[in-house]
Amino acid sequence: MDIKVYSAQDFPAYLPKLSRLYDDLFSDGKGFRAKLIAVMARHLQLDHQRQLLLAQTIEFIHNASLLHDDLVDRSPLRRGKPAAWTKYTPEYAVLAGDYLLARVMVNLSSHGNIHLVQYTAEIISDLLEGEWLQDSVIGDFFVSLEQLDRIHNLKTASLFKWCLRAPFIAKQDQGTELHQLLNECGTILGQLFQRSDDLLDYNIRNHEGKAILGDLKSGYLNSFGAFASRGLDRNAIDQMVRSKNLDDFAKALGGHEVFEKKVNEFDHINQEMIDLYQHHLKRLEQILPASSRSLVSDLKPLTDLLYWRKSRS
Amino acid sequence: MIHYKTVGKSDHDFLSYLEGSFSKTQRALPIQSLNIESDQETITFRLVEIKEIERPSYFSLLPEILKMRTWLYAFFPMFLIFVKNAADAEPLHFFSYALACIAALFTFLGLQLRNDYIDYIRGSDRLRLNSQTKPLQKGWLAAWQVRNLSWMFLILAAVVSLPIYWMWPAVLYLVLGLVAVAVVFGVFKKSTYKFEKFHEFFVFLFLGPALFAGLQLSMGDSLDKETLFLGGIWGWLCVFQMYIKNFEDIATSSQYGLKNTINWLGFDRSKVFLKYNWLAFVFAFFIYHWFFASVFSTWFLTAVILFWTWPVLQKQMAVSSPLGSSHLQNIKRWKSLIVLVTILWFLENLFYISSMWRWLNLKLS
Repeated sequence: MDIKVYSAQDFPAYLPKLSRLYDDLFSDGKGFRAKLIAVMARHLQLDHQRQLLLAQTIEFIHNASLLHDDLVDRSPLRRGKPAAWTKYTPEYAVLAGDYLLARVMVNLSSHGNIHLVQYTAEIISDLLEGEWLQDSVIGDFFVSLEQLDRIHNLKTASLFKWCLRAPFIAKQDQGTELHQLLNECGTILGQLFQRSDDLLDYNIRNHEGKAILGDLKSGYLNSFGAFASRGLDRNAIDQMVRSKNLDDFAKALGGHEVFEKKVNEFDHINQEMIDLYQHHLKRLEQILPASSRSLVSDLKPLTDLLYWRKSRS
Repeated sequence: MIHYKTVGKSDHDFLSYLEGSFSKTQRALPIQSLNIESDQETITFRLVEIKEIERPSYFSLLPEILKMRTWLYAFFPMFLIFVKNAADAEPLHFFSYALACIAALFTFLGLQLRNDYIDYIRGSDRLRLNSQTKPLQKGWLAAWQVRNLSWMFLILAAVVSLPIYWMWPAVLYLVLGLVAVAVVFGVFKKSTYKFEKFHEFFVFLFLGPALFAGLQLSMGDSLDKETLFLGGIWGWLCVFQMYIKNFEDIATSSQYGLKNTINWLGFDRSKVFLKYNWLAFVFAFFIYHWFFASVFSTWFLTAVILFWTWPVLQKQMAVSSPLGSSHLQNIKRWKSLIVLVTILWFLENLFYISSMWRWLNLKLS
């Protein structure tokens, strides 16, 4: 599905640079969120136009956040290529991000579902609050996992919640219990995705070849870093911050055995979260109408994909 | 495999799970949810066997359950009033004063436990990133047990107070007045004093002037300006401590929609508010000492407090985010400053006692 154009006004021909920037940005993306929308749409029997609108909305919001995020973090690379702000200037990167968010609002409001517009605006607001708060903990190596959870709930999990809830809102299904349940499931998926992504930094299940200790070297203590450094004294944390490679990091923690133990403990608490997710799915199965109950079987393996990084056969 | 159970408010067994009375062998521990919603339609519990819950030793458990670390709020006023009256060589009615101290402690315990129970039932204790109400959260006690303990202490306080009311009816009028204020503020209706804007006035009154006045009257003495002033200063310090706690949780409790004064002001304005509130407290502390204490302690204590205040204020204004370690460090500095003031105040009063002791010995010799 080509999500670039929902309305004829998207990416007009007289703005070729904007169009090129978009193509660069989206070309190597996995489009996971759009795929999740496709799964939801299939089970909820949403028509093609609504599915396209939802897929475009979530990918535009996500990519707008990446455009702004790269500039805020001064990250030179995105998906292995020069980030938009380095290739097209920071000004263009900001404008392109704003443009994506503006198109989201134009297209969503033309659809006429005010609840969907309102919910999407809330999610964008949450995302920005999360970005703002995350920026405030850069260089803070004593931040706690609980504090990072709050940030990731706003920044990462909000988009997962949207993927699960928006298709139901588009279908005018506003049941309180249903949406609370989807909120919980989306939060768990978002947290798991973020924590798994943070583990890549420590070369755990790093099948994508992500740079090792990239977050730490950029001055950001991610969720695993915050978990592993609990209870360490200031000297050990100083040593950890100066780590040039994984060996240094493990030494700062107390050796490779301690590092492995911390990874296992981290996996254990996240497995508990996965169990909770499965519990919520059982409840979801009970309240969904028979026609869309099959959705649950497609949502079940998401934790394998997002946390354990197992690709679906 | 962990077993979970989700119940909604409309379910008939909602309260029994929340209070822990649903089973004699299992305990339901609420899962912390990041989706903070004030109406809280559903709660998910982790079900655990009571025998599998790891409890600390009895000596560690008891102080946690009875929240002994907060007893200072009850004991310090007793100590201050005692020293004040002893220093003024007032005739003391020890029996009724001892009863009043016991009643005040029981009331304090009963209200503290009730506060824990309400926080747990409302879910607001799961909001706090550094929550202190461990016995309930870890399943050491069920909520119904805490509720019953709370009632037990409140009833004991009422029983112990009866002779005082008979001996000094003014104390009864004071308690009735306090209850009337609580009714006006809606403290009973909303079952809490922490989550509404300007409700700190009740905390100020209860832990400050009212408590001091009650203790003074139960000694058989009449009310005086010093007692009320002393109570006002202590009540102010207690409220300030509450502000600091609310400031610590400003990010999460704002998301939850709590409307206390700190959330209403917001992060930046709260920083300024705390700064001027503290300076005003130090000024009031100085004025109290100017009128009712020695010249040395007036200047010395104020100077020491201001000396330690300065870096705290400077560092506070540099904190830019309600999340992160610098915010928590700032909170720790404030708490240390409050402890410092309390210790200095305690030492000052110890000095008065030792002076009285020397004076008494001289008289006897």
